[in-house]
Amino acid sequence: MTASGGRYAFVGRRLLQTVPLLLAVTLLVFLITKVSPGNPARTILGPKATDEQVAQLSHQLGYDRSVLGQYFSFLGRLLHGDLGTSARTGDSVGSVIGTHLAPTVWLVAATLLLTVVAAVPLAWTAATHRDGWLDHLLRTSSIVVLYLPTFWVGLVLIRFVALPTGWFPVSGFGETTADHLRSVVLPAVSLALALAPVVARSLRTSMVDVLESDYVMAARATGVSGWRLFRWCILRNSMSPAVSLLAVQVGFLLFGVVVLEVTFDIHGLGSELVTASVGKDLLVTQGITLVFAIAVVAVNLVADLLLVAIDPRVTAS
Amino acid sequence: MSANLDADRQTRRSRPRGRAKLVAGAIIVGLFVLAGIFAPLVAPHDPLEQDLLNRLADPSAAHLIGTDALGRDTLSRIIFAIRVDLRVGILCALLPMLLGTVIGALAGFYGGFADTVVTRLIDLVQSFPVLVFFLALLGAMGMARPFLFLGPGELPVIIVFVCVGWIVYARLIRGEILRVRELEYVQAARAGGLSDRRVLVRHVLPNVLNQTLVYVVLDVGLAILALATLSFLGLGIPAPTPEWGAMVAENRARFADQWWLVVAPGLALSVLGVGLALVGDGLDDMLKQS
Repeated sequence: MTASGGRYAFVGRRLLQTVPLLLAVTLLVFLITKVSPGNPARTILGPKATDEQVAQLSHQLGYDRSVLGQYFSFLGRLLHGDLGTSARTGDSVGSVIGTHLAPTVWLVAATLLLTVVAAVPLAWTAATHRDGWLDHLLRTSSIVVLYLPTFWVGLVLIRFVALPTGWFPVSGFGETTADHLRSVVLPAVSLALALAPVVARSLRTSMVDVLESDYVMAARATGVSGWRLFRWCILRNSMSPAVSLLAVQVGFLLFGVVVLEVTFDIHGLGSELVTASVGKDLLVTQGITLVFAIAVVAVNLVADLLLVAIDPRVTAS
Repeated sequence: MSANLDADRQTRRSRPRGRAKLVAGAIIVGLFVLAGIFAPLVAPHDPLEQDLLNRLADPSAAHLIGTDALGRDTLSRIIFAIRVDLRVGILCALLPMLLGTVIGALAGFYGGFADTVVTRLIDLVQSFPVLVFFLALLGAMGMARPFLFLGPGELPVIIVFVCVGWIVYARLIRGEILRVRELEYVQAARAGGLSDRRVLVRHVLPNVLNQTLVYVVLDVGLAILALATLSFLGLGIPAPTPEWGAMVAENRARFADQWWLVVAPGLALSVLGVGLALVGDGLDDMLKQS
């Protein structure tokens, strides 16, 4: 009774914390348009516009108001789902996001899947053969792989795997589901290569703790072994830190996705963000950054709620 | 007794391992630093000199890694790029360290409002896609002209790194101050008139020095990687300055035929990154044991 009460209180508290966080995130994203030098109305109208036209557009877009006033009107429009229009194409930022969302979601899902599929057996082998060569390799590689440039790893895979074998497309996202699947394999491999050892190392540490715990000894003594022991005692109890770690790394994951979309020429949110940023299309840049930021907040929230589901003890702390 | 022996054996076994990593990493990083400092002597050609009659030349004795689409010597460009990458990497690690130490100390000693602000900021940065934000900011800010001893495009990158990087160090110092303050002998010393500054210098800084050092080394590598990645995307160091990520982007179109133009700068970046990671990790191993 008290335990489940604590659980609800935790969930409620955690949901409440999200509100100021989201406000802060919108403020940061709003700043993107403010650090840009020069008059934004002048940028839109081009060098031939008269001062009068510039002043009029400035007024129309609200650029002549105080920064705080502009922030509140940005928030107001945001609540109505209005993110403005692209300075390059005139499309609404909302539609730009909508049309580019799918490849990015595919890429994130494929990377997460590959990471987990690689990390669990790696962690298990390292945890059951402590101080073996794999264990040591995992320890060092979990740091070293973070220093490999993913864009370069991706290009090397294109040149030395995709080109000679023809198994994977060199660029683009394709039309059919089968095309999509083949297009995300190499970018997902490039990114999972950096992520899997890090997750595996965290999983290995908690697996070692669980393996040495009294309840696993007790379970073994009563004859539970093999897959059942692994599934019910070990995986469940050692997952929490790895889930938290993945949540912390999600910002890194999303940046990796941005970079790999550019590397593999996949037209998702990431490559669109880079194009917009390089081309000073401020509202598109702002809108896509906001999507990524909200995704990170959401993932952290879901991860915390998941932790409660996996392990009710976390509400105590 | 047996646990003691066990622990002893582990230390003895892993100590050389930490040292081996440190030495291997230090040799790699040292070679890069030397090549960067003496770039004009080491590099066979001028990194910006174009030889249009000798474009996309294959590797040869004159051009060990060939020439790019403008006939510039790839090896010389890779060597000169060390200067840009290391300079930005070091500043992107050192400046946030200094700023973070000061802010963390203020938050730790004065508590209250300063402390609340710092903890909230730490929360915020942890749930924000920082690198994606950098990318958006750099595009909005635009490329900057050279500034003091910094080359074109370097200042905006350093500014965005400082704005976010200080937080790790602030958290470290703040946590240590909160811990040390509770110790009886420190409380006694403060009651006896020991100033905050003395507490900081005598009891706090020595305890966090090791961890700070490890963070700085690892941060230099991560900053270099981020700079190269941003340059690859077209948002870091502008042409024609040689920079590894930018070189990969410049030569991408030639990748099918002249693959070395892309592989070589990426390899330089990877090797330096791994070297820094080994130094940081080895240092961490050794400091944890002592």
